[in-house]
Parts: sequence; C-alpha cells; structure tokens
Amino acid sequence: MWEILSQFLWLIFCFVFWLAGKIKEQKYLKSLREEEPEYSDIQILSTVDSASSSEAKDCCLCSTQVVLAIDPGKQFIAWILGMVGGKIDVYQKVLHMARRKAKLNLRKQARENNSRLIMNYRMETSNIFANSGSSEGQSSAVEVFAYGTIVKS
Amino acid sequence: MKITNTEEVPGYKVIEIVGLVEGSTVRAKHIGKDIMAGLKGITGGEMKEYTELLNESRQEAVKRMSLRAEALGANAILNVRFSTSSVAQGAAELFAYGSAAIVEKNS
Repeated sequence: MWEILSQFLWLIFCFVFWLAGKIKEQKYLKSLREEEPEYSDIQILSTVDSASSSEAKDCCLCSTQVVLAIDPGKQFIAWILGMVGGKIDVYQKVLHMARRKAKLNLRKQARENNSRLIMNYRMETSNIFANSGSSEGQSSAVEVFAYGTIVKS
Repeated sequence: MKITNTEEVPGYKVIEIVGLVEGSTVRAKHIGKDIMAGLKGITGGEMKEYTELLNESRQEAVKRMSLRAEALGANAILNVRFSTSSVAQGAAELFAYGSAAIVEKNS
C-alpha cells in the first residue's frame, strides 16, 4: 500500500517540477524572442567567406557556452516516450533553446566589437550530469559550446 | 596575440607557421556550488554556475595555449579547436589546440 502511495507522491513531485520548468521555459523563450530581432543584422557563417576576409582589418575569436538543465518532469516524459520510440519533443526543445541562446550570445559579442560577420561558426554539444540531492540522485543538463571568428571591416 | 579558428587571419598575412600549440585544464566545481546548481536545475533553465565554470576554464586553456605560442615567438594562433572530455565524476578536461604562426598586418 505504502509502496504505491510513494510512487504516486513521486509522480506528483514530477508534475510540480514539470510545471515550474514549463513556466521558466516560457520566460526564457520570451526573453529570447525579444532580444533576437535586435541582433538579426549580424550574419553567422559556418564557412570562411574569402571575399570579406580579404577586405577585413581585424579579427578575434569569440566563444560562448550555455548550460541548460533538464527538469525531472521532462526526464519522466522522455522516459515514457522513449519506451514507445519516436521523436522526443521535450529534449528537442531544450537543445533548440540552448543553441538559440548560444547564437544570440555570439551576436552580442560581435556587436560589442562593431562587427557584422561571424565566420567559421562551430558548435559542440555535450551532456553534463550534476550530482545533487534530488530524489533521483542525478539531474541532467546539456551544454552547448559555440565559437567563431569575428571579422571587423 | 591574434587567435582565430580560421585557416587565415582576416586582415593579416601569414608569414610563417611555427608549430602546434596546446593548452589544457582540468577543473572540478566546488561541492557547495555543485549542490546549489543541482537544486536550481531541478526546475530546468539555465545553470549559471556551470556556464561560469566552463567559461573560466576555457579562458584558462586558451591562456596557456597562447603562453606556449609566445614562447615559440609567434604572434598568432590559427585554426583553434576545442574539445571537452570528462575524466572523472564531477571533473572535466577542457582542451584547446591550434597552429602558432607569425603574422603581419596587411598594408
């Protein structure tokens, strides 16, 4: 009896965390949506643009990292979805958000340097496990590391 | 010190490639901060503690790399690459490498 009850308790906790996570996520997305248009004139290329690099005067390396945590609610949903297979939307959203934030951060750095072009954009994604005192013992996070060369003309 | 991840330095002319330089650092987070980050992470969102830690560590790796380049007499590092690996629980190695070169400003 107590076993079943504790299982439900865990589910309720998951739901609370999921709700809190959802609210936080919406806030984060809203701030992204507000800031992105300001920096939309800065171009990001994953190749080397030889035309603009020959005209350039100066350059510097820029890099940024974004660490986003995945709440237990999302992990639970992903676990359920993972059993039946198919696409796991909750993780996809987190990764997409982290990449958007990384691009925004790089654009901000370019603006500080009075540049409008970032060349040779590279991105790395890795998983971070943080030991914490949570009920599951582990909480998961993704790290997106992005770097590129700011070209000043 | 000019650092780029392209093969050429925009606005500069490569005169000589000196050699490979690398820099690395292994870092672990303070346990108190680790627990705090874990507690905050329970509702999702950005983990500022980790972002800060990784940023500091990568700066350190780049600094060590540029010190080596300076010792070789170079004034630029081309084609910089980064790699990350976790060597132990709670510790990560951040590694940066590139080609040290001597460059000259385009006239």
